[in-house]
Amino acid sequence: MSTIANNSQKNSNQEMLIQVNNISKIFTSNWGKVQALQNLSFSCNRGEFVTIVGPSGCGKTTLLRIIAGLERQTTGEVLFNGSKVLGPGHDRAVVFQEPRLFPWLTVEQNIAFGIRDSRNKQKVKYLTDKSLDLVGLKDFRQAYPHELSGGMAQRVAIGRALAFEPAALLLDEPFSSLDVSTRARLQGELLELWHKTAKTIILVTHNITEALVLSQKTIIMSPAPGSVKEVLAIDLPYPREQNSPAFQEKKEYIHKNISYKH
Amino acid sequence: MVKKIDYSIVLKGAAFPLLLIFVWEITARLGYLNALFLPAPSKIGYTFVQMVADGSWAVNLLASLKRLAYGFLITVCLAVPLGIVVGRARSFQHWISPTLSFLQQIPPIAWIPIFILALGIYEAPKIAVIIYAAFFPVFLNTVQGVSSVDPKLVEVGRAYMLSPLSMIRRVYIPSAGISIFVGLRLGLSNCWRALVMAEMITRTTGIGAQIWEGRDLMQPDRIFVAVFTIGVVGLIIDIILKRMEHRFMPWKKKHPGDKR
Repeated sequence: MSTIANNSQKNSNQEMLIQVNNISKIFTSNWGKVQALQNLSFSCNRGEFVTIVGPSGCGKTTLLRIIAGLERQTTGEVLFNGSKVLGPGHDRAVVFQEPRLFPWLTVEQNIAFGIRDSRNKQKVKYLTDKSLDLVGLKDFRQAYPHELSGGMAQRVAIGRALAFEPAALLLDEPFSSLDVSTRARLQGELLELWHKTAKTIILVTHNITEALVLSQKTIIMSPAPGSVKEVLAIDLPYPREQNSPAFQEKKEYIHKNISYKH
Repeated sequence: MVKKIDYSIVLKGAAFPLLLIFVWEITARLGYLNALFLPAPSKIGYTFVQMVADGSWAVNLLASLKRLAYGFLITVCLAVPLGIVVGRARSFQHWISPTLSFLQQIPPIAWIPIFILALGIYEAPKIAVIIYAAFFPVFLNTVQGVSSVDPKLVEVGRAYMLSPLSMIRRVYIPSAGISIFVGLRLGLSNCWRALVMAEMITRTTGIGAQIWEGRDLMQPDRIFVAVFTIGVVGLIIDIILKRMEHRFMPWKKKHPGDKR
């Protein structure tokens, strides 16, 4: 576990991978225009674990979708590794709130879904096996999604993202529909996975504890329109001790910051 | 993978027809039935054996099945791709769905005279009728299946950089698979029924033609052989398609809650 701590040290002075510059997003609906995001900026280093927290409706999912290239911002730009994000790319893989597995594919086929060079059987097998191993589903490779529990299904979704070989993983409240103990286990697994693969991770959550357990840096957002309230470095050593005074203090601090009044 | 046949269900399903045939045979033998239009089952069975022996049964059946295969294959090649295109373009549906609803109301048999005038009395009009009969169920179910594909899965396809063609092949078609298959099953049974009608009107070869032949010759037993053949072949086609459905869509067989 101390290696994870080293990891966080090591990454602190590294190059910038993702740069969000002055993003605004206006949705136009039948009822008029809604400003979802306003002049939002932050950055994320290579190998860094960043969380985005905020109350529901503050536009954190929209922000992640813009970084993923699934949604277009109204103004501003996202730079990934120095180049503008214009759409989905091979350098980013998304894990959605729901597992979104393909019901007609087995676990192993679902994981192999995004592999680029799908004709290269050896490569597909190598990447699939590696991902299955990382998410601990080797014994379930032949199972179909409907045979899996919620936690296992979300693991498959994470495996699918890993097999895509992205530089960054973008997770949109991936554990929010899981029960408390499954969530805690998956959080631990995600940290381990981050340690093993050294991927850059951006995770959206409304759960402050989750943000504190997982990330090195958390972007605290305020709602209506969504903007960055504060970028908070979490310099606590891994694994994070939830009962420690330092942890509690940070939690208290974020709670105050994230209040719905503005 | 292959489902075991549950014999008790087969037995239950066969009980009623067997009883009916039994009663029919008894009443025929007792002379209650007019043999001019209701010959005894044993007579029909005898005629069937004879027709199998002299080859006329197989000739007619094969003629019909060949048409069915051609007509159905052409329909699938037309209706499925068209259904995929239309299913994806929602605005296009507004343009054509009233026309389709109108055409759908017209039974295939109503077109047969026109098809004969235009295409002659041989293979072409029969195949045209089959295509017409099967097109709508196949096409409409494909459209339905494709347009109800979960947009969340399509988004996964986008996020994982699928090309437009891969998107159709790997997301749309499997998603719509169940619906397309329902269309194929409906289409094929429509085909089969429409074909018999077409053959009865054009009266060349085939099972349908055999029915009229039986009437012309005043041989009701030949009519019954043809009628039963139509029913049994239809049933077999449906069973085969159902089996294929299980084979190609194993995830559909198991319901949530079933354990492996």
